[in-house]
Amino acid sequence: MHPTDGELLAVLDEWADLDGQHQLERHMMSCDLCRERQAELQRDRETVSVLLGALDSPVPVRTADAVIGRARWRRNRRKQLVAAAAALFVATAAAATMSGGGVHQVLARLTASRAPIAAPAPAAAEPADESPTGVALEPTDEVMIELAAAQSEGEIRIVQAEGPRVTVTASEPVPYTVQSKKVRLENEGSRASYRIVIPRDLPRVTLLVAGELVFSKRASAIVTAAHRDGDTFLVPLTRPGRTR
Amino acid sequence: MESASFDDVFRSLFNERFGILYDYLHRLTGDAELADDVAQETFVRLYDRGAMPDAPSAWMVSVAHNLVRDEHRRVERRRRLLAIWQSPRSAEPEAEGRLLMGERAVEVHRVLRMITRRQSQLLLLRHAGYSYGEIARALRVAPGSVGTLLVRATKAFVTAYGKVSHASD
Repeated sequence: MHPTDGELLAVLDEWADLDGQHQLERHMMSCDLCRERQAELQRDRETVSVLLGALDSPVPVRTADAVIGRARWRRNRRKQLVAAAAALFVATAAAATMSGGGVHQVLARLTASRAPIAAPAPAAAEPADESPTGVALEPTDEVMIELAAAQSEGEIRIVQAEGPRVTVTASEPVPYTVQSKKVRLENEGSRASYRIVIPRDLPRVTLLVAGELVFSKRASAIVTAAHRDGDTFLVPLTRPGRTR
Repeated sequence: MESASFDDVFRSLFNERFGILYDYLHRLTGDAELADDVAQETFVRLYDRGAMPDAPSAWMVSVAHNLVRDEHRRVERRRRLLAIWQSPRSAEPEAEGRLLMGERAVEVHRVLRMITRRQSQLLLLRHAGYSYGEIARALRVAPGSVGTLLVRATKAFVTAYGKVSHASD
C-alpha cells in the first residue's frame, strides 16, 4: 500500500516517527511512483522555503527582564484598579442609602427629563427598566450610548446642545439600563426613533448600534457617517453599519 | 538539586523563543511593529500566567494568533469609522511597509493572502521550525493530519505564486 502525500512530506520534514520512516524508506526502494511523488513534494517544499526566506528580517533586541518588568507593572496596576473600584462601590452604596445622595439626584433628573410623555420614573439602578420616554444623566467626561440592535425602521437624531445633561428619549417604550457613563437600550424588535441630546462641551461621546460604532465625539472632533445638519446628526437605524 | 525558578525558566524560554515567534509573526502579518508588540505581549501573558503551559511554544502561537486577530478587528473597525476603507479590502501590508520590503517579499505576501489564513499559518510555522506536534496544538488540528494539510498548503502556495509571477511578467 502506498503512503499518503502527508506521510511522504513528514519524512522530508523529518517529523515522521522512526518506525514509520523505516517502513517508508523500504517501500520507496521498490516503488518508482512514490519516489516520483516524493521528488515532486521535495521540489514544491524547496520552492516554498526559498520564497518564504524572502521575508527574513532582523529581530529587534528585547530582553526577558523588560518583559517581566512590564508584566509586574501591569499586575500592580490591576491591583490598584481593583482597590479603587472597591472604594467606589462602597461610596456609591453609601450615597444610594442617603436621601439626596448622588443616586437620588440622578433619579430626579430622570423624572425631569421624561416630559412630554408622562409615566412613573424608572429606577436607574434596576436593569432593563421599561421606560416609555427616556433617561438623563450628567457625565463629567464621557458617555457611551448603546443600542442593542439595528431596527427595521426608525432613526437616531443626535443634537449637540449647551448644558451638562445627556438625554436619550424614545418615541415608544424601550427597556434600558443606565449607569453613570453608559446607557444601553434593549431595542430588539422595536420600531422607535430616538433623540439624543449631548452637551457640546462633553469631551467624549460614543454611540454604538448592534456593536457598530456610528458616532464618535472626541473634544470637538466628530467622526460619523450620519447625515449632518448644523448641530444635528441623523443616523438611520435600518443599516447603521453601512454608514459612510 | 535545586529546581529552577519560574523566572529562570521564563528567561530561558524567552531567550530561546522570542526571535522565532517574532520572525513567524512578522512573516504572517508583514508588519514589523505589530509582530514586535504581539510577541512581547504574548510573553507578558505567559509570565502573568505564573506557570508554564504543557506545550509553551504552541500555547504562545495560539495566544499570538488571538492578539493579531483582535488587532486586525480593531484596526478594521477604526478604518470603517474613519471611512478610509474606500476600496474592497486588500489585506496587503501597509503602503509604508511595502516600501521597506523587496519586490519578492511583496509578491510572497500577496501569495500568502491568496491562500487561506490557516494554510499561511501552517507553512510559516513549519518554516519557523515548529514541530508537527506543536503545529497541531497551536492550530488545534489532529496531529496525524498536519502532513496532509501541509501538502495542500504547499500546493496552494505554489499554484498561487505561479499566478502572481505570471501576472507580473
